[in-house]
Amino acid sequence: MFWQMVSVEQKKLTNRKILWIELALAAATAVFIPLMLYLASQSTSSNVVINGPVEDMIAWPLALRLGIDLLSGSGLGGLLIVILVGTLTAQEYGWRTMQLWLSNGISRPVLMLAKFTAVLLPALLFVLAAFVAGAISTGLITQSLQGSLPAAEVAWGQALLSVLRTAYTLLPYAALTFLLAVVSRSTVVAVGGGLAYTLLIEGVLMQLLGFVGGIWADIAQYLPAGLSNSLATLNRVTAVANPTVPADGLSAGTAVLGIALYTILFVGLAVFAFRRQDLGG
Amino acid sequence: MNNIILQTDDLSKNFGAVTAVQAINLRVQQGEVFGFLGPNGAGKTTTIGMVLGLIHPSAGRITLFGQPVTPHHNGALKQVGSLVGAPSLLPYLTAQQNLQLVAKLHDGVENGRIQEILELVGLTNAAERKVQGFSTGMKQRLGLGAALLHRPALIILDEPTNGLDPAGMREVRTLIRQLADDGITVFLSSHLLHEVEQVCDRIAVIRQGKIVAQGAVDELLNQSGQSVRLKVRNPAQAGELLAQLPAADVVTNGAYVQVSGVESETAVAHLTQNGVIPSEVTVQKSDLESLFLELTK
Repeated sequence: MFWQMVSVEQKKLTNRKILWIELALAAATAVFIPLMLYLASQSTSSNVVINGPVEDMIAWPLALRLGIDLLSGSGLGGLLIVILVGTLTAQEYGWRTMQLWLSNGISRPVLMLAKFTAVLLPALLFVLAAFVAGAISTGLITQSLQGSLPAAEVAWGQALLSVLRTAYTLLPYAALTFLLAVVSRSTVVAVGGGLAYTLLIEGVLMQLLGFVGGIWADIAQYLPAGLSNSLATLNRVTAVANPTVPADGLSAGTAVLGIALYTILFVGLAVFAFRRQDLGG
Repeated sequence: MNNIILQTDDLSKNFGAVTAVQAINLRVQQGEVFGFLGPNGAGKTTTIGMVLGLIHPSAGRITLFGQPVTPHHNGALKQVGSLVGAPSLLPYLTAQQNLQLVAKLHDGVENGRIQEILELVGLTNAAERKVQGFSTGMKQRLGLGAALLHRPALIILDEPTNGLDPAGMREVRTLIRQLADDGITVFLSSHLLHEVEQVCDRIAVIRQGKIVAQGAVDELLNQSGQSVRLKVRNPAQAGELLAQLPAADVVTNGAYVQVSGVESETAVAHLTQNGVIPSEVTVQKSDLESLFLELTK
């Protein structure tokens, strides 16, 4: 029954306009940023010189990371997943479709877990859409700048792993918003609370803890954004390992485990709250 | 004894200090149309919510098809179809897509069944239209269709004719009787008393969270008694005579005297023995509306 419910949730999801709008937004952003940089460099009045780091940013192979990095949990990816999960989950209380599934004999934990499992697909699709759109646009830019595509320098397997890692970092934000939607039954509270945490509270908290230093700065690394950052340092699109990995960062295993624990905690609390809810009227 | 498929034992629900449902005991027998009546706020929807595993009971027990039902143990609901309040539908999907989703929750609902249901509820021509553009009546029909899709053994309907025009209401009443004839048990909550009187075999009346009457419609109406209306030359004199009878409740109205609490034969015999001959005698049976008003006043 779990997979039947996941299938129902996926069907509902793919029929929502908001999913396709957000996917288009993720792709458009990955096209827009390198394109603007490129156009600025082509302008005769521009002071932007296309060489060194700027060229690396918009030309293959390193430009392939652009779309992936844009969709991080503390960036556009977090924003998109919070809006999607908050809207999808809370609206169903208004439409009373939760009641429909439950009164057809679906158990509450199965319904909740199926709903959250269905969110895994858009998390992956957002990053994938940005990666593919960014790859196409920067590919054209690279062709224009260098006259050829250095496709042989791209480690496609590593690029795909980077897409998966980034999608994985979206899960705590999705789970937190899911919890807020279940507890509040309100789209405004779920999306507002999720965005406030993702875009404001977590950033401020990390800055403050870093400023205080010592053990507090270490604690900051264990917030979802800190864990995401640790995992993001492993992202690469070439065979060469990322030289920017900080020596004092968390290990990949710790980051993966930390993100999993946040996700399980938030989803677990959502299931617990949902099991206790009265859904009359 | 008939097979009881839905049973509640001392079912109660408190919302904080407010008692919405108090120790109610319902017995719904297989194949019957069971009416659940009560004024607004009497606890009907809360009771149905508990039966459907949507609301946690504060006390008591619900048994469906011999299995206990709670929000944490709702497997028995797979044999139940329900339409409670406004239908639970996804507005951005078409009528057919909504039914397809519900079909996925049950084994053995073939594609042909969806077409059959769309036809049954008169929405074949609107199958490909998104529900957000539907009228209230169309949504109600689709909700009813979704409830019937998996051929449930029990169907729970809360105000199923809301938003329907008179022809639609009659179709739903006919459908309910047809379901019962096919062996499907129907639990019908409605404020339309003539609707309940026409289709229900047995009823329960709830007032302020308590069941105040439960039984076969005819039995309850008979218990509630009948009144006798007599046309006489001198209503005042006839009224005085009838008032002498034990348990008689007499009302005079123009040329008529209405008496309840006594049999028509007793009333006529008493008047004629005293020289008053009625020119017209009508026995008026109590209807569900008067019974309802009496029980819930």
